[in-house]
Parts: sequence; C-alpha cells; structure tokens
Amino acid sequence: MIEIDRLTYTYPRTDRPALDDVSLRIDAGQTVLLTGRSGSGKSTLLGAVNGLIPHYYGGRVAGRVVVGGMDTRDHKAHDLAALVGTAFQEPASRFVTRQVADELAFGLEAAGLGGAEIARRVQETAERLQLGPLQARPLDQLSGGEQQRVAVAAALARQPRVLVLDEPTSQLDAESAQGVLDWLRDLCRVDGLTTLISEHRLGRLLPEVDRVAALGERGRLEAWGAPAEVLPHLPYGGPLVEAARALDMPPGLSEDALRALRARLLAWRPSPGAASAGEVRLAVRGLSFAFGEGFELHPVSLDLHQGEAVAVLGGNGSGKTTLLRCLMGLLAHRGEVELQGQRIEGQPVAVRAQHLAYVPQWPSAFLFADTVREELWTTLRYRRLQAEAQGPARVEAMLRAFGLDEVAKRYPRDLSAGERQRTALAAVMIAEPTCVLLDEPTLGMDSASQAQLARRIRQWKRAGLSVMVATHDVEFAAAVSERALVLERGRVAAVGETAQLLFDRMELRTALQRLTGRARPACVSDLVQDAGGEDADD
Amino acid sequence: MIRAQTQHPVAWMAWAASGAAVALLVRNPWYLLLIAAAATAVRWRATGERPTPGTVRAFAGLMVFPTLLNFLFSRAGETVLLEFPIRYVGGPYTLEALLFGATAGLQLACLLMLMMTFSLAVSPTDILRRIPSGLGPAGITASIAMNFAPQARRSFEAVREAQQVRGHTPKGFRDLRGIVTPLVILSLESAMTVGEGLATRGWGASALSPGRRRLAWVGVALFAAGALAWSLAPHRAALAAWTASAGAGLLLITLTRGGTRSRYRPDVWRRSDTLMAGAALGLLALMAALILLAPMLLAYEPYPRAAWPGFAWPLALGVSLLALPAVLPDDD
Repeated sequence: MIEIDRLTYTYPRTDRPALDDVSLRIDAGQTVLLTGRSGSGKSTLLGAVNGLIPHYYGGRVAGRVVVGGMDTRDHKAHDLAALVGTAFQEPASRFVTRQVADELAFGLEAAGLGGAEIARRVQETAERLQLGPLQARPLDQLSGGEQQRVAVAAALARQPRVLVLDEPTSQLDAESAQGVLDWLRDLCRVDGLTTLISEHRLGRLLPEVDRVAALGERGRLEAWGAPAEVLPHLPYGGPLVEAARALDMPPGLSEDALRALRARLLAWRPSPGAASAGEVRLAVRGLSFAFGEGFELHPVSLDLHQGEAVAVLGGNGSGKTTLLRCLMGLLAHRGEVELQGQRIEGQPVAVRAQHLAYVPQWPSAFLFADTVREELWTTLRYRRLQAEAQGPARVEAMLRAFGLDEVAKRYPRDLSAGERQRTALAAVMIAEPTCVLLDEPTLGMDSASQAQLARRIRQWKRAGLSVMVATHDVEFAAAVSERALVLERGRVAAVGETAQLLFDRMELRTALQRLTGRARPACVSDLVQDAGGEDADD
Repeated sequence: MIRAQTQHPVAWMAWAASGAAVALLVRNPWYLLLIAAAATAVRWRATGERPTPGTVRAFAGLMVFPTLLNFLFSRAGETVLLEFPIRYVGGPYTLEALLFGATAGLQLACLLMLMMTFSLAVSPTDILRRIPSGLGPAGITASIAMNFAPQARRSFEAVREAQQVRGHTPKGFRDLRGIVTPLVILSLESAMTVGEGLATRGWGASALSPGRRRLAWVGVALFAAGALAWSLAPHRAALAAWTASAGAGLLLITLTRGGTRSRYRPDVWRRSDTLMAGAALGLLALMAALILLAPMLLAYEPYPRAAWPGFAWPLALGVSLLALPAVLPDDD
C-alpha cells in the first residue's frame, strides 16, 4: 500500500536532511508505529506519505514514495486526500470550520459527495467516535482532547484507505486515548485500513501494531520489523519494558516475560524514609471560577508545601488548566490564594510571576524571541535584571542546565517539542521562582525528554521548589508527585497520596499497578530510586 | 456563548454591504449613531454578551484620533473655541473642525462595528465555500489570508499573556514595538498551518482540468482584449464591451461549473433571510435614490458654521432596518 524507496528529504533553506535514505514497504491493512525522539523526522515521514512533502513545503527530494499506486512526486496532497486521511498534533490550529459536524463534513464536501451521503457519514463517524454530544458545539469551546478526537474523526470521515496520525493521542486522557486506539484497531481490522501512526507513548501501542519503524538521529531508519524484534533496539519501550530493564530483566511483551516481571515486582519492597513536608508555600482556599453558562470550577482547597509536587489529574475538560490559570491570575476567580503567607488574589500576573512560574500547554505561543538565548534575556529584561553583572553567566548556566547550549542560537519555534518545552522552562526558571505551575508539560514530548523532565522536577523539589503539574499522564504523575488531586467536570473528586490515589481509581492505574494489582511500585522511577541510580545522568 | 448561526451567509453579506455603504455615504451623526446602535444590538444578540465598558472605551478611543487630527489641523469654521497669538500653531481651533473630525471618527467606528459583527456571524469557511470551485488553490491562499486577522487576535492574546507570565507589566502603546514581530510571525505560521490542513483534506482537488484551464485563459485573453480596445479605440466602445463581457462570461462559466464540491447542511435560505436581505437591498436602493434626488439629506456639513444635523424620519427608519437581525426569530 505504501512504498517508500530510498527517500532522502531536505527542508528548504537547510543543509541537513530531515530524512536520510529511508526505505519502507507497508502492506495493505498493516498498522505501523513510527517512533523516534522529537526531531528525528517522524512528522516529516508522515508528510511524505500524505503528499505535503514535497509539494506544500518545497525542499529537495531524492527517492520516491508511492501510496496506493500514486507517486507523491506527481500527486499533490489534495489529490492524495481521497486515499490518505491525516490527523495532526495541535489540531485546533488546523480546523477550518467552526462546528464539529461541519468539520467532519469538510473533507466530504471537498470530495463532492452528495448531501445525504455526507450527512450519513458524519452521523456514522460521530457515533463511532462517541462524538454525539459534541456535534453541535463550536470547536473553540472544546477541550484539547475533544478537539483531537474531532480531528481524528474528520480524517476518518472520508473513509480513506490509509490513515496517517501524528501523535493522535498525545492530548487525550488515558481513557479517551484507549477508546480511540481500540476504535482504530477495529477499524483497521474491519476496513483493512493501513495506518501509519507516530507516537511517543509506546506502552499503549506496542502490543497493538504489526510493525515498528524506529527513526534514529538525523532521520535514518534504525530499526524496522515486528514489535518483538525491534523492541531491544528501542531506547524506550513503555513502562513495562522499562521496569524490566530497571530490574535487569530481558525486556519482552510475551505472557511469560510479563509473568516473570510481575513476580519480581511483587517481591519489591519500598525503601522507607518518606520526605517530611516543608512549610506551606501555596495555600488555596475555596478557589472557584465560572465561565458564562458553560464551564464552572467548583471550590478547590489545597496546600502546596515546600519541596513538594502535587499532580492535578483529570480527564480532558475537567478544569485542570482553569485551576492553574486562576492561580497565575490569568483568570479572575473567587476564593483565597496565599503565596508564602501573602494573599495574592488582587495581584496582577506580572507581580505573581516574581515567585510563581507558569508554563502553558503547547509552549509554542510562549516563545517569541529570535533565538533561544534571547528568550532567556527577554525574561531578565522584563524583570529588570538584565543589567546585573551576573546576567550573562546566569543565562549561559541556565542554557547548560536545560541542555540548550547547542541550540542557543536557533529559532525557538523550529525546535522539537522537547526542546521547545525546555526553552520555555528555562525562560521562566531563570527568574528563580519558588513555585512552578506546569500545564500538561509532557504533551508531544518523546519518552526520553519526559523522563528527563521528571528527573528535573525531582531535582527542583530537592532544592526546595514547589511544583504543581496538571497532567492526564498517570505515569508521569506517579513519577514526579507525592500527592495528587483529581478533578472531574470542575469538581474535586479525590485528593491523596499519588500512588494510592491512582490505584484506588481503576481508570487511573499505572501500567505497573495494573500488572501487579498493588499500589506500589507505581512507576519505573520507584524502582530506580530504590536502586540508587536516580538522576545519575542529568 | 455564540449562538448557532441562524441567518444565511449571503443575507449577512447583503447586511454588511448595505451597512458599510450607508456608513461610508452618510456623514450625518444621527444616522451613524443608529448604525452603531444596530450593529451593537445585532452583536449583543449573537454573542449574548452585553457590550462592556472596555468595548465602549475602545471605540471612543478610535474616534479620538480623527477628531483631534481635524481639530488641530483644520483651520476652517466660524465658531472659534481657542486661539493663541502664535504663528502656525496658534489656531484658530474651531468647533466645526472638531465636529467634522468626530463624524469621521464615528464613520470609522461604525464600519469597524459592522465588520466585527459580520465576522462573528460568517466564518471564513462560509466565504471560502463561495469561491468558484475552479479556483481551489486560490481558495487555500484566500483562506490563509482570511484566517490571518482572527489568528492575529488570538496570537496577540497569547503573546501578551506569555509576556505577563514572564513578568512583563503591560504598558499600552509602548508595548506595540515588542509585540508586532512575534505577532506577524505567529499569525503567518498559524495561517500556513490552516492551509496545510486544507490541502491534506482535499481542498483544491477540484481545480481546473487542463482543457478547462485553457478555456479560462481564452476568457482572460478576451476580457483583456476588450479592455485594451476600449482604451485604444473609444469610438468602438460597443465592440470592446461585447468582447470583454464575452471573456468575463467565459471565465465565470469555466470557473464555477463542473466543480465537484458539495455541501453538507447547505445553508438554508429562510423567509427571515429574504426579509433580511430584502431590507438590506431596500436600504441600498433608498441610498441610491437619495444620492440622486436629495443628497443633502445624507450629508452633514458643519462648515462654515456648526448647526444641528438634520433628521428625517423615513431615512432613520430605513437605517434602523440594519437592526433587523437582532429581532428576527431564532429558527423556523
């Protein structure tokens, strides 16, 4: 169905190829997982399949890509659209209509289907993807996860034979993501759909796919084959594989391998010595927020201690982002917020920013300077710290600390998701806040970057910083936080110690918890901490 | 919460066109105020949000600039408010200049209000869909252009927010310099992203077949020849006009016919749309008639001596028709 033959592609105005001599042959009906670090060329390869490369972006191409008999050198993206459906990351920025149903219909209209047929397909797609209640809603009022589901649905509405998905579940909470993946699997099986999917979270997908393509540094294909064959070559294989590696067991996905892993995990005993909580850094009392007649955040009360991380969990649209934005002063709320003993409700954002750092979802809007280094200087200028003698040293130290010295001169918005996130973090951390609010920091990040961020957060905690992280990624929450708060449709549904809280709520259990049926170990870092190997490489 | 769009995009286009025409033709502040009130009412009905003091301030601010400009630099008018014994800058500063500037500002504000309401009611896609199917790729370009303004607003908010989060206190106009570059870059990037989405979803696939493309070029050539003949040989105007019309007709047919695009939920044309479009066209006709028959009714000329602007009930009623979308029933 898809034949990629010695494809080398270089973007316009760059010297280094984004894809280097890649050859793949994907048969009809196969599901192929595309993996690799951020910036390894996954999105580029997907673009080569749906025809955006080379026609939309330009650049230099060698080799050829044939999809369903159509050579992409001769057929543009809009011709290939009948054959290839595409759903991207950050779907909100690609919506062309205002309402869900219209968005589902758009591709069908472009294809010239009859009105009745379009209506039938829209209805069917909406039902199968459980978008029913969303259909009449404006797109800009949907949560990130809902938007992603609409984008996937819109790609599928035209019933393409090939489906190209660029990190389709990265914004979804565990339940919706599993729902989408189950649905995709059924679809692939029933309709013989050929699927090419790039994804960082391998744990969920590895057992489901037929083939795995691993892209290495500089756009080279490093491994290609069945999941079990490729697994040993992958730097990251999901929580279970990583747990096996942490325990020096051979990684595997077979029943036997999992049984052996389970036995080892059950024998594991947590090391004593829980850290005692420091003073209260951020005290939230009855914070609530109402937006028109739509969304409402019911009163939240919470203490965030020094050196502690609290995870704010909840499905898409549960109010996690709203809570963080209220704390930062970006939304007017009711209730009290105390930062280091001082009431801050009336304080403007810029004043709160002296102690409180906030990094929003998708930090691309957050970065606006010409270079990474300049981003850091911008913060210093805003805080009137640029004249300080140690300014340059501080900037350089920050660049090194966040592993950005090699990209210091690059344009921030051209960086990979992980690098962009690090740039945004460095840009707020240079102001030396005492409390950090992170909104879905792992979105679009590869696993290595996620693990690195988790290590970084643990370092911050040891240095006495307080961290609040809104996430739908339970593995990440388990890896970084002591306590967690679960929001459900704007209400606090549970507060408690993270591992126990995740375990008590069936739908939130981590992979290790599901395997062992116990609250701990909840994540790989529990094992690593135990082994004393924590943070050796940071 | 934005109400689901109830009126047909074409009815909205007629509404916006007639509103804008009136705002451009009329200088009389009574009628301009009526337009502003109508646009506000329609917007209020559409969003369900009452106009905030912030919005009122923004529009007042918009009016200040032309008012001051005219007050400071126009020397005409008999009612002198201020005069200083200094050459060139001493005045006289007149009431008439102030009034003339203010009405120009009011015109601007009215146009902006109409356009804001229009863009709320009609999405770029509604307009995109009305681009002839033969111009598919041009449609992508057009949509990138149309998405630029709303994207720019969103990008502006995002950049402002990011600046505050990083410790920057907003300082109004002085911030503009730092915000323009990221704004343009962000907006262009997002507009390009929309184009990417359009392409992968098959927009533009119904572009012209080679034969049709040649036919379209023949149309362009005929039209150009007609226009050229008109300018070179004015005495053969009839022939030139026929040639140009034939070219334009051919172009129109090749571009609009035979496209494979269709509509899910084609916009339904209801009685209320007929009413709305009819009222808009009626208002346009009234304007045209008044320009020919009684241009003084539309004008307001404060020079040389300020007087109260005139007020004609029939014209006021005509202009009030612009508020019709605010009172039309929600659904049939």
